[in-house]
Amino acid sequence: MKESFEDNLGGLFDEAYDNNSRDLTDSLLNPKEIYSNFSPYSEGGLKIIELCHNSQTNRKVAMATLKDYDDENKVEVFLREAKLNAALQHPNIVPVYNIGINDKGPWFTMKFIAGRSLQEIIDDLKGIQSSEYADLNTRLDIFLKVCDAIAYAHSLGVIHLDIKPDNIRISKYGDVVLCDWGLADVEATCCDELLLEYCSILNHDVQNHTLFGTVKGSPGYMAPEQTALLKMRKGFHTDCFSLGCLLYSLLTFERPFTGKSLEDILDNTAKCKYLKPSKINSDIPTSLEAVCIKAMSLKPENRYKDVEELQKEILAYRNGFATKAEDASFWKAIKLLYLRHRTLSLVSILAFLLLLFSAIITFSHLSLSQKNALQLAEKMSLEAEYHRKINKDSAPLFFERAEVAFKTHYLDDALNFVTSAVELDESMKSAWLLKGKLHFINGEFRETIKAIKKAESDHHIINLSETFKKYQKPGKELSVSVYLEILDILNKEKDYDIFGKMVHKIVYSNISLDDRINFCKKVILMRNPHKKKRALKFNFNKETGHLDISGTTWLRYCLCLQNFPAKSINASKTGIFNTIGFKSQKLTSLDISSTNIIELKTLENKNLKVLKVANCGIPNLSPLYGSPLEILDIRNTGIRSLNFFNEFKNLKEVHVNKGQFNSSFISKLPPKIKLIQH
Amino acid sequence: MSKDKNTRYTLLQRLQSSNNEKNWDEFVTYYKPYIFVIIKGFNVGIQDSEELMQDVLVKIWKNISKFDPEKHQCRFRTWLSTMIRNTVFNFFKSKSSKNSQSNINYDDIIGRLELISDAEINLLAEKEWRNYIAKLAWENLKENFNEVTRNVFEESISADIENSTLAEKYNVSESSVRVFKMRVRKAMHKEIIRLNNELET
Repeated sequence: MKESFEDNLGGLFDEAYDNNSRDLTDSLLNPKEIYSNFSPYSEGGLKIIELCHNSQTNRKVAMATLKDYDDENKVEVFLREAKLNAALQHPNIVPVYNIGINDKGPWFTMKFIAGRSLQEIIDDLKGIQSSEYADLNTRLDIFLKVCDAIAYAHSLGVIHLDIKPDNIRISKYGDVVLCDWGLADVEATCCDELLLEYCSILNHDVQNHTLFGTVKGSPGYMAPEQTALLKMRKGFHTDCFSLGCLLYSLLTFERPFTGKSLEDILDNTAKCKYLKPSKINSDIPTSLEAVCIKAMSLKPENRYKDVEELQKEILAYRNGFATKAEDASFWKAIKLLYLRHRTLSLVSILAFLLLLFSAIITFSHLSLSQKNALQLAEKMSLEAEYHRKINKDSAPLFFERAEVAFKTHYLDDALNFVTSAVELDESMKSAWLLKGKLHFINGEFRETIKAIKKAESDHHIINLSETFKKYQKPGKELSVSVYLEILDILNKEKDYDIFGKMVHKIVYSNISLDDRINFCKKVILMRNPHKKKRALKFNFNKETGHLDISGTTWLRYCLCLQNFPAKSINASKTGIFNTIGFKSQKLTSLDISSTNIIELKTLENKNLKVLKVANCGIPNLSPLYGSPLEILDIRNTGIRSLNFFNEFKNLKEVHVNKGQFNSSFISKLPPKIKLIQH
Repeated sequence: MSKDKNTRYTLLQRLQSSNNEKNWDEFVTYYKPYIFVIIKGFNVGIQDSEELMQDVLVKIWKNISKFDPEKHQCRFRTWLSTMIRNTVFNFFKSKSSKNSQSNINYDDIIGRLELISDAEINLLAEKEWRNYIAKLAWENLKENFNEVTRNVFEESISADIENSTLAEKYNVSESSVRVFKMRVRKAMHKEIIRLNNELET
């Protein structure tokens, strides 16, 4: 233990001399020894880069030395690069620490970036090795930093002219630096005063650079104007092109310009012939491809004006806006908007879809009648909304209108008005009573009970409602038989008002033909009381549509025949005294001979072709003027003038009795009308 | 030794220029342990070593003024070690011829000494010099450090011990262990260089 202590302690002796821990002043007096521990790093065409230790600053630096330091021209070029690079102080440009000349020629030291070159990273990505740079956004960050560096250099009037992944070094800790300003040139027109001396035209012709290589720039990344195949000026636009190439390789992991030989590559470069990024990988965002293509335009004027413009496009893409280069469509913009505000968009899209979905569901499940009901409800709600706006005082007005509608058999309207009335003024009993009646007519017994109770009335329909409410099923009409039962009671109780309205409601509802025939027969028997039981003649031919009720002399009331689907009716020799019962029928032929009808004003059937009104006290045919009548029987009527024929264009045949018209009238008749005198 | 720090002459230079008692005492103080180590390095027993020490010191006293690094083309310690080897050799030569009653096999020692080459002597001299100077430096510095630092350094030098183990043992943080070690090392480097310059040239 003791011995090992002494031996190990002795190790400090060597350490003391190895560690350069002499006084700093001592080491500064001996500059030759500042740099030590050289190790080779890389080698370019002109220079060698070595890593070494700077004992003054006690850090690792990279030192560039000239290979051929006897050539004065090369020394000048080398030092020019060093000084130019040293003039550029930017976080993304490799900093030059010191420049000097020793017995082995000129040298300059730079920051040592412990990391890899972008080319190595791209090669890794190409080999599908998992890498932190696999994410496109990370690579775009690198690109943006390079853009920063170039934009800064351009601001000082310096053009890099050799931008390529090989010349970009990246450390693990975010350093992205652009190196190798060996080909850089200075734009004399706008450069910094201090940089003027590096302008290629002043010191030595720019052609001098080409002495050391066949081309100026790196094949695969250079701009068309650098190939020497084209006579074009180099400038800031040249760097813009190379930045496009850099973006290209960041997107595709490939060099934009390839070829079998150097000549091929240069030829492709000069013609700007390259494979579109999306051809290499279809996943590449079109926006970035567009930026790439624009930057890599053959003509400088088609490229981006400056690096900042190019940078803005990338930033726009990264921040989720459409780039100018891609000329985005509305949908693309919407898509990007969505991507930018993903959460908010998701919520609103979800809400919108939900709304759409529910609307579709609602509408697709509605039958036609339900749709009508919906429209009605909408109308009602609109009305109700309107009514609510006008004050309570207008309730009687609504009630008045409801009453008018009720009297004229506009039952649905009546219900709407009366509902509005009670909504505006709940204490309006007469309105509640009317509402009760309307509900009763509709077979809505529960609502009837409620309304009648509100009306504080003892109207008999409340009892009927109690009796019949068991038949009320939601969404279903009462059967005709139930209605007939109710009508029977109403008839016996002589409530002809509600009776008539209920009949009206039923005949205008959608009931089957058999139900309708049965209903009409029963109602006619109810409504036309006869002491002696006589049979009712009610023959309806479903095929021809002919209804025959002739000869039933006791038949006076036949309102239930309204809306009957007959085409022709023979109602002769009956007791009817008006034509209201034929309302809403699509009749072409009507025989009401030998009835009690004395006028035709209520005859609304405008399509009649055959009308027989013989033996009726009808004074004239004026209500029918203009109708398409063809055959007319006016025997034994009060009609004494044949002037009407002008009013019936289709008239063909008129039956009269002898002596009804004098011959002067008859002679005036046009020949197409056949006058038959009985 | 600090009292001589101001003079531009090292101990050896002073001894060579004026061989006074004060300089000699100082030289003996510093070199005795080293000479002792070298003698021992030639496999000499402790009793014989004491005797040999006197012989060596006398020879240095007589010959120090004649030592010239340029003429001898070697360092003082190499010159010294060679001289020690010769002294030891002669010592045992006379002893063996006297047929000493001691049961030590002198012939064996002489045989081995004869085999030792100059290079080997050089190596031995160097090695022991390094250890000796470092040890001397540590003796000088020791008192400037607190106990924990001292212990941490000594233990870390004696064996390859993890910083974390030391930190636990002395109830200090691991970073403190690193700092302690670094401080002592730095101080030691300085002191070693100073001592070496002082004693060697």
